[in-house]
Amino acid sequence: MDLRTIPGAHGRDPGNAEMSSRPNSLADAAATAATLALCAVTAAITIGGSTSKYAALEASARGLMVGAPIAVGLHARGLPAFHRFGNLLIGAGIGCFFASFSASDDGLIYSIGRISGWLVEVGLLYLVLAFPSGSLERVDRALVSAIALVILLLYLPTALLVEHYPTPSPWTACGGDCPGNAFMATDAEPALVADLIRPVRETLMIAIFSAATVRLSLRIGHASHIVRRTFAPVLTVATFRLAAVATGIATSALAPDAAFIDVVAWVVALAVPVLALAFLVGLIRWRLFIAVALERLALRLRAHPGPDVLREALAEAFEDPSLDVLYSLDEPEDHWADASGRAVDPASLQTAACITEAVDDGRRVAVFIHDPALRHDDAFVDSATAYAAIALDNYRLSAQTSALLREVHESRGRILAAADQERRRIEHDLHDGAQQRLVTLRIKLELAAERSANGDGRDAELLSALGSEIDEALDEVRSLARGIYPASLAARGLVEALRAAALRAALPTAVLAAGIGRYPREVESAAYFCCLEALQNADKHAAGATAAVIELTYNGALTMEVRDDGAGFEVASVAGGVGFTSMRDRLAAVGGHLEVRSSAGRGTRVRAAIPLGVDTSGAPGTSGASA
Amino acid sequence: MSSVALRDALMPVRVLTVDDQARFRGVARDVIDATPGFQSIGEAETGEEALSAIDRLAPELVLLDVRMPGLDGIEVARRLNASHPETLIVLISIEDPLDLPAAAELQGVVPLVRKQDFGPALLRRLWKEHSR
Repeated sequence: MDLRTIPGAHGRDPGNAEMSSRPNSLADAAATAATLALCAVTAAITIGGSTSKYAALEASARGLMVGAPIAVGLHARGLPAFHRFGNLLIGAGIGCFFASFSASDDGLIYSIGRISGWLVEVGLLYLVLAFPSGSLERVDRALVSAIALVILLLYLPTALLVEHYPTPSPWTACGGDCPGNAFMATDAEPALVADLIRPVRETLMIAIFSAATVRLSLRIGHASHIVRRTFAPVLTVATFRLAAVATGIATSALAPDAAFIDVVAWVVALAVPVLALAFLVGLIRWRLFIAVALERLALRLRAHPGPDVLREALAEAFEDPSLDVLYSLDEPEDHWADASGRAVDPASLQTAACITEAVDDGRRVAVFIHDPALRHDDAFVDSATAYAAIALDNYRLSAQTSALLREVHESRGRILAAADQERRRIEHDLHDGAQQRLVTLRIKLELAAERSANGDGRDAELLSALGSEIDEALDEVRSLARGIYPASLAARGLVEALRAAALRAALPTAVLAAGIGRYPREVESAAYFCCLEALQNADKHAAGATAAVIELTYNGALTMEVRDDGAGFEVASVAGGVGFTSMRDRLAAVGGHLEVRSSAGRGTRVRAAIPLGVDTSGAPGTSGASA
Repeated sequence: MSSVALRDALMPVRVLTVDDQARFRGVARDVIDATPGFQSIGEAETGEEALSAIDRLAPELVLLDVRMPGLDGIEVARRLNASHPETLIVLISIEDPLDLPAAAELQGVVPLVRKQDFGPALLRRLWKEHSR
């Protein structure tokens, strides 16, 4: 897992990256001049040391071997993402410069060149394995260490022992008339060198190069889409060169006189500038890819993006389907959520492919999980961070709004539930208290009246009169209780309560209810009082109405319709009235809504619907809850 | 003693009162005691108790309150109608009968009276109509 924190758009840290990307024309000119100078020296040495008629061509080729890596290295160095690699490439180019001394016919210069040629191989292998970041993974480090050891222990010491350096070499075209080794310290070349050291080191080199070839091939094979497209040329050329070197070594050991070996040597030599070119192509392709991706991103995210839109846009723009964005929310502490708002366990981040943290204004905004190839590109990271900050703000806002709405909804529900409960309590108290007392009083009066009927008639009359008073009081209390909360609603359900209400209504009212069972308390309550209000409206206001209908249906939602055939009314002028508002409020608290239609001469239709998840039908006769 | 009075004294109508309100059970007992020819043989507080009391005591007249927790009066009346057709069941309610549409199906079969109308006169009238 690769984790890095980078400054976001708001708090940009003017570090090294900034400085190296600023073009400095003086430095550029100096660098170019130096490069050309080196190439010129190389060409001069080559021409001076060459005896063939193709000296000029050879000189150009060797010049290219030096110039190309340095030039591409200078270019790459200017890009923040490839700064390190660029430096390495320049280093390799300089190494090639010294290796080009091998073309000289002067013994000392030649010898320096040959030794440099060995050392350059380490550098080239390093380059090829470290592309494009400039740093090595563990396996590759082992390979580079191996080749360094071989060069150090089996090649360099022989510089003191051999008379002639082994040919052919990619660094020189001299075949049989190469200069002698200027560093020879012994009188004669020990047989050990030819018999043991050379075979061993060549075998090892072949092994190392083969391993590196395999490694590179696997990398191409396993590469993600981005890597494959932009770095394929490099990996191909590098693989090819490694294979050629291995072939060259093997052939020169087994069939030293084959003319084929010279060809292989030139191929290996020219592979260096071709490799540099491939690096350049790769860099350009990468920059193009990022530029196109950013352009696509900018077009796609013109408006303020939400988190899921951002994730999609990023994944599409950078062609990384596995890309994901996680947002860090403030509450609860260290809480992570993905684009759709689901909570994500931070522990799962440990196994992610590559993670980049985005920090904006000192606070951690988001975390990107993405293709490892993208991590080095600041352009990607900066733009993605900026957008992520916006998206996170959006997300926070909308989450806050949702939370607020939920709270409002819940508190509304609570208020209505509390009001209903209060009503039920009052009705219950009336029933158990006042009504029962009055009833008992009435019966006792009746008893007393009967008893006194045997005695003074006037007592009986008085008692009967009192009894009538109480009858009236009872009627009033009953009516009051019914208006507060009808007993039948809690005990028997919506349909029963509405039937009772229909019987008492001024208009002849029919109740049509099919498949209506029991529902949660607050739903039945809201439905009942809405229908009651609508019915009472019809009774009071529907001029010329002859009948009303209450129709109840259930189809995933409880729907009630109260219709009358009266004169109708102007809905717009009445819609804001207290009656309708309270109906709407009651319905809204249980997630329902209201629809009122009325036209002159066509009657009125009040329709309410309450969506329900589960129908909690209960068998009639078993009282659910008598408060 | 007249023959009626004798009969009333020897074979009073056995009445069971069912109501969750203790107050009504008390006053009902007073009424029954004050009505010659009727005897209160027991009380029940819930519908379930009523069913077991009826099996145990075999009353001739059962006063059933409609609104009780658990098994309500209407359900008990329905069951009794099936199991004890000879017993007179009277549903008593504080509510207006109009507010109890569910009782409509028992109309004509089981009388439904208002609680406040309960008294010796009503008691006698109900029994007389039933005996006919």
